[in-house]
Amino acid sequence: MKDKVILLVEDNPDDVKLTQRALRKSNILNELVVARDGVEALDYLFGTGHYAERNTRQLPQVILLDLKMPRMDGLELLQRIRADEKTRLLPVVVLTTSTEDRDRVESYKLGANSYIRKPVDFQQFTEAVQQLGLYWLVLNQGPLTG
Amino acid sequence: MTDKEPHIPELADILDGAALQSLLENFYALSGVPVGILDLAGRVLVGVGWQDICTRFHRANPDSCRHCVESDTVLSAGVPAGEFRRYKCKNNMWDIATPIVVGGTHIGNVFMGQFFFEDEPLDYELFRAQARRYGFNEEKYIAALEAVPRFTKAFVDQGMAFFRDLAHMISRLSYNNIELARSLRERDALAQSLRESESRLNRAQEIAHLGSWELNLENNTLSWSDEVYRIFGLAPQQFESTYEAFLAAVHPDDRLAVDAAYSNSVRQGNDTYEIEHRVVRKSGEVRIVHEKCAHVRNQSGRIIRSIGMVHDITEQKKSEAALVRAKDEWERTFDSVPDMIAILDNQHKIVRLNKAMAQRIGLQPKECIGEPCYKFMHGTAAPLQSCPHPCTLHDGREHVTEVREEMLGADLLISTTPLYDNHGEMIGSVHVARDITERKQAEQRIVTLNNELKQNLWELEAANRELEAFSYSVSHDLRAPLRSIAGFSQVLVEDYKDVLDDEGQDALARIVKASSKMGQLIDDLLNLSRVSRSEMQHDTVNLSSIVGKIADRLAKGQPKRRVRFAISEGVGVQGDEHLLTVAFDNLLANAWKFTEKQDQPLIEFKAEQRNGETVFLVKDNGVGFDMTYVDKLFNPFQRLHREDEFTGTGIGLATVKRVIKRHGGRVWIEGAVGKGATVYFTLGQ
Repeated sequence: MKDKVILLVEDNPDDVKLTQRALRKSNILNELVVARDGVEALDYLFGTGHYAERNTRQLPQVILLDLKMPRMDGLELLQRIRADEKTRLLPVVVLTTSTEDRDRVESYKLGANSYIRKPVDFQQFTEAVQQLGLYWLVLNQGPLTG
Repeated sequence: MTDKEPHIPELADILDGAALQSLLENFYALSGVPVGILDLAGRVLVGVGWQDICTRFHRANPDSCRHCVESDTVLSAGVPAGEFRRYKCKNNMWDIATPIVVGGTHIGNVFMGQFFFEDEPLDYELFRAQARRYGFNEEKYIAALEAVPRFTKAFVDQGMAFFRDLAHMISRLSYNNIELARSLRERDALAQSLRESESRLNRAQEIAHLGSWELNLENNTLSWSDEVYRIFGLAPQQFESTYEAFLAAVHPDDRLAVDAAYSNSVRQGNDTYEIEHRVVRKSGEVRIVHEKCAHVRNQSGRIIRSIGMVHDITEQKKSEAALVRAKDEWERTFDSVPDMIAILDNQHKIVRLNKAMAQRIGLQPKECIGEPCYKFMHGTAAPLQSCPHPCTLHDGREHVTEVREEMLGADLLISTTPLYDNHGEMIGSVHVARDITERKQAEQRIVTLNNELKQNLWELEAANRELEAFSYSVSHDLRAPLRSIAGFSQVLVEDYKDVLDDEGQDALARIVKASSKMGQLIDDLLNLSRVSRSEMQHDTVNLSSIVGKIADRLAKGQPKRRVRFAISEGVGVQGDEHLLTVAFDNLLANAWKFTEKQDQPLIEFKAEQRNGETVFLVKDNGVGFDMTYVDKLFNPFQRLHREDEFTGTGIGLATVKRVIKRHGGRVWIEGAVGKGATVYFTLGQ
């Protein structure tokens, strides 16, 4: 289980910290890789740029994706993930502040597996993360490693 | 009957057979001369001294009788008038005939006979043979033969002279009689014709109300036709016919004029006299008459007679007056129409124009009539391309066009309608030009305003889009820092509890609560703006079901609370389901919140009919409010309770109001402190 990596694509450092904390509080000890925006995420997934040395056969168990990011936002990244054979099947959970219907609909259209709204309340946030983690890392059978 | 020749009657018609018979019987008694008068067909009109031999034998036997008739007609034909012919009849008896000729036509004969001449011996053998041939009794036959009278030649001649004169006299008398009868007939016919003529004339005069009169100036006698009496209201042939009597019947005001006119015309030796004047009937009725006469002069040129007519023209005068009135009315109407009207002939020439048109082009009507319309209306030498008049002339239909005419400084709506004469020929058109300058200007203003409106609308839409983008980013960008605040405050609370004193912990708690509140505010604001922005859907919405779902959710959210819901079933409306859900979310959340402290909280949803419209209500028996502040309730952020009494952002009711307003409805609230509150609303249906 420790092999299962969580890729968190999030530009807000506070949110990153809170997410890490929430995972810890939930006893989810998997490796958390953080990409600050879409470009970094792609580097990671395809072993380019900063992650040139990485073994790209290793792919995350689940990608937690924020939508509003500089350089490349979540939906564009999602498109790119779904466009490539290697990453097409990766589970993507959109984790966003947006309550706009069209973001939700668009996300699903582009192939997101799940869409979660980030609650402001930290308690709720922690619970949400916990549920997320348990589901995608434990309960759900991923496409690559089962 | 046209009498070119006298009508030749039958002998029987002109002879008094009985009188002549009597006359000649006396003659026979005196002279013993047998005589007969026959017509050309052999009919006997007078017969005296028939001998037995004829009556009993010759005429009794059909064969021998034929001879008699033949003798009567053929042998006696062709004798000139005034002469006589002696002949032996076919039965060998002597006869003498002289004709009766009337008006050159032989219509009968006078016969003397039968007889034998005295010196003539009887031819017994011939007669016996005759007897045998016809089967007569010979003895009797011979006896009869011997009974036939015998005359001397001189006697016969004398007799014939007598008869000849007789025939002549008969002829002449008859002819005269016939002529007389004919003249009488003619005279009668003429008299009848004359009567009929007079009758027709009278009738014609009566129908025309025109009578004739004649004044004899020499003896001052005046004769009137029947119609003149009628016109003057008198019984025909009623009055004493003099000139003075006539004047007396003339209307008193006109008398002098009439008298003067007539007298002058005679005195001045005019040929005619003519005047119109009034007549007063005995009944008091006034008639208007037209008099005209011709004067007749004698050898020396002096006027001795006047022959004239009187025509009752009262009806005509009335018609004329009515016609003139109608003409006036028509002209007044024509001139009172503000549109410019011109009647044009087939060559664009103005036949007539109304006052409005004349004034507009600044000319007198007289100056325009006969001139082409385009000369004055457009100042051109030919009609405009757009002129509808030629089109109407061409197809006989109405044509309308709009023209801007600088010369008159106006926009004109011109219509031409075809004009026909009595025979259905098109003789021109009625050309109506209406000044629509103001209308066009108004239209222009409307177009301008419309464009401005479009512009404003576009700007409004642009502003809306900006707003939408703004709200969208607000909801995102504000939430993130909020989460940080809340999150890390929580971190402090959880991980650094031991290090913080009570004050510190209290401070942190407030921070967390505040950020939570802010999150709520942001959500509510976002909701409010979305309510304004979103496009309204129009579906059938089941309000009862919406209320039910929200009630369930609230109950599930706080299972410990026991709140009773009374929801009217089957309340449906036309509207936007999403927006209405938002509204009820707020209403029920409020009701739920404010009944927190009630023992037996009751939240009701109903629909009622009031004054012909449907009113919906959400009622609670919660804490209520003071009606003094009712006006503030629907303003955003306005609250009547402190945060520690009841949480809330104060946006709920503002959101509800906006939803209701977008549905075209009204919303209001009633309540009392401690007695709960009821929100009423309509949905503009």
